[in-house]
Amino acid sequence: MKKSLFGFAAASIIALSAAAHAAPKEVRIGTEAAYAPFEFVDPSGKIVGFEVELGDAICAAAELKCVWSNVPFDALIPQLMEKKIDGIMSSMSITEKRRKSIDFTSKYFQVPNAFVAKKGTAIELTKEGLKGKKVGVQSGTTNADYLKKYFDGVVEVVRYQTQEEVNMDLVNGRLDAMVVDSVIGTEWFKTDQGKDYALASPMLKDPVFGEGVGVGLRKGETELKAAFEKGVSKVLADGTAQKLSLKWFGVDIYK
Amino acid sequence: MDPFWSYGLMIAGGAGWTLALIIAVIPVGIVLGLLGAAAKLSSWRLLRFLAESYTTFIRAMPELLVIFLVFFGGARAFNWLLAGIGFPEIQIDFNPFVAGVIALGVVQGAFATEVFRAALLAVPVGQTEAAQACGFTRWQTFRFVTLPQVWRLALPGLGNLLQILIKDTALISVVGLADIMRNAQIAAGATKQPFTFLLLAAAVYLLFTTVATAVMMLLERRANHAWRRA
Amino acid sequence: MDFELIAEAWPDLLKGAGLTLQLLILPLAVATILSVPLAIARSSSRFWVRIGPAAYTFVFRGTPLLVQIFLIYYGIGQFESLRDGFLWHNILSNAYWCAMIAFTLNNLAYITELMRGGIQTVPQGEVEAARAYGMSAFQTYRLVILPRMWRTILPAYSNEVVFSLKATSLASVVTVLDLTGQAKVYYSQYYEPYDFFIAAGFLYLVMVFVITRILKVIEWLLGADRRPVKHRGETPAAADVADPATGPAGPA
Repeated sequence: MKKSLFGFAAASIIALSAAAHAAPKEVRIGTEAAYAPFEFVDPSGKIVGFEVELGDAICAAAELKCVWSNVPFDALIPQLMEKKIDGIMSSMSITEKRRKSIDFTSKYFQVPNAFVAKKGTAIELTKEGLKGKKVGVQSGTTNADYLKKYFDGVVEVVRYQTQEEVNMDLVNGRLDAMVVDSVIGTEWFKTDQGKDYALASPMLKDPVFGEGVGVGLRKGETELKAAFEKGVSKVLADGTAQKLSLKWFGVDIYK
Repeated sequence: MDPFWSYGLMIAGGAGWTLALIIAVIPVGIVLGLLGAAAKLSSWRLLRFLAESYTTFIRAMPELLVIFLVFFGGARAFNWLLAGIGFPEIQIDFNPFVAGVIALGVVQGAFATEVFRAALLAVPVGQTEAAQACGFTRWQTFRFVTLPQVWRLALPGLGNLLQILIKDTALISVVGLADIMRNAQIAAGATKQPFTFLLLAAAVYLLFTTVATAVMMLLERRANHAWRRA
Repeated sequence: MDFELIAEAWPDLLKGAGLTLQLLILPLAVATILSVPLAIARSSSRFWVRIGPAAYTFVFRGTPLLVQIFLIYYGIGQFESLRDGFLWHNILSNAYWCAMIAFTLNNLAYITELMRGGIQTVPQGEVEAARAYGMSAFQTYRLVILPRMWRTILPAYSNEVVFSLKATSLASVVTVLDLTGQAKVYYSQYYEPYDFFIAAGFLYLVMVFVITRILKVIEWLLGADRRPVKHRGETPAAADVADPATGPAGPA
């Protein structure tokens, strides 16, 4: 027993060091796959969605081999900086704050954000209108930054690990509203779970939301960035992006 | 396929990751535990101090915090360390699995240190003295007299640690490992039946802990058989 | 380590630590009180009395606390009829109370088993003697069995308290801003993994230290009549018993 235990220990140490490796040959893309329909895990365990298909198209156009991995949203930037992944495609908006840590390609889509609440509720975007409301956001998103910037101490900001959890708690009645990408909202309204909900505010316009979604990359990786730039401009120019938008959302978000 | 079955299968698939995590952590915990116990009983003060700090700190830290530290900060620390000792080209990939093995291994090691220390102390001094009187070296005494008994004496404590470990693996879902718990959450989010799928996950964990209890009982019976015969 | 960042987070971390203590003390107190009848039933010689508590502790000790919290927080929302009820609006709609309920149920299972062990170590002779003196079953429990049980289980109970304190960190996954939750919020604003988590770890260490000292004092006070007359330079060997790893498996 002892012998086999020690053998086991040795084997596992070898296995651990096998996980250590030199420079990557393929491009590892990190995404937080709990953001349907942009990126989510289907029942077979595969990462799918609009942004995943668009990302694959961008990679193909950039002549890169991309592999996707599922990373919690607020771990994406640290993992990129620590070279655990090589790129981020996770509906991550290009913002000044994030630019301090990482680099972005130009945007490949942009959707405005808005409040979502039970049908028939209208949210007044003032301190009085929002006073005491419980508003859910996903941790580490621009939505969380927006609430902190304008309504800190006015609304009770409830932070969740994933968007799925925010949705669940809105339905459970623990939240008065949530702030979310409007496309995530409108797609969710089509599901059984979200059918009683609607956009409750005009589209929010604020620098805190950034300049659209781009591929997040480490600073100084000019070659990789040039390749991705080429890919992004190609899928936007040849209609691939629009086609995928129609496929996943039924509308062209590029209009 | 009916969503219940497809998501149910997904949770069963997550059980594979949970099992892999358990199997990978056990040897890490045992090795760290033996080293820790040896250090605590060593005559070298610095070693005793290091082992004492290790167990005190880790046993006071919530497992979730250890996991966050290793997952979010482990790679930076490790790669800095590796570069410092002259291997800048090695990059350890801190995916949730590796981070889980390290975090839970370190936690288990701290508890196993105490289990092994208690077991080592429980071996009667007379036996080691007798062995040395027979001309055994210190290493031979440890290898042929102490160690075989430590296994038997440590088993009940290790059984408890295994139970803790099985339940702790669920925490790795928080940093994104597609284990039982994470898949149950995905299923809960995608369907309108969080209760159903979380209950299913609970049942799978219960199966794991029950089987582990049975295995440990078997091991204890085998280990004790020389003592039972009398 | 950036001490300016830690200083910025410090008031919130302390607030979180306060919440952590609440999440420790209230569930622990309720569970300890409820454990007494449950443990007595659990150690009954009658199968039908024993089976209920036994099944309860089996399930709650055999599954991760994280699953239990999620079941209570997100799972119960599946039952729409419940979502309109009184219980939901006043208690279950609040993450803080959901965490409290989960911790209480979890502690209850571990402490019940602990007390069962303590009750079973009371020598049969003492129980029989009490009955021979004409004590009722209630009196026997109150005056003989339970006081003795307390003294037996106290070292293991202290471990349980430490485990329970660490387990409160799981409240952070259901949006409660306890110590771990606060550290996580600051982490996702600054992406500095060491400062906030290490500062939080330090506060946990302080709490564990203070709590174990308090429990040691209680242990010492309760054992007053059992202490041998201590001579100078002698150290009690009982310290090894108070070890979490060798005690019963804690909540995880």
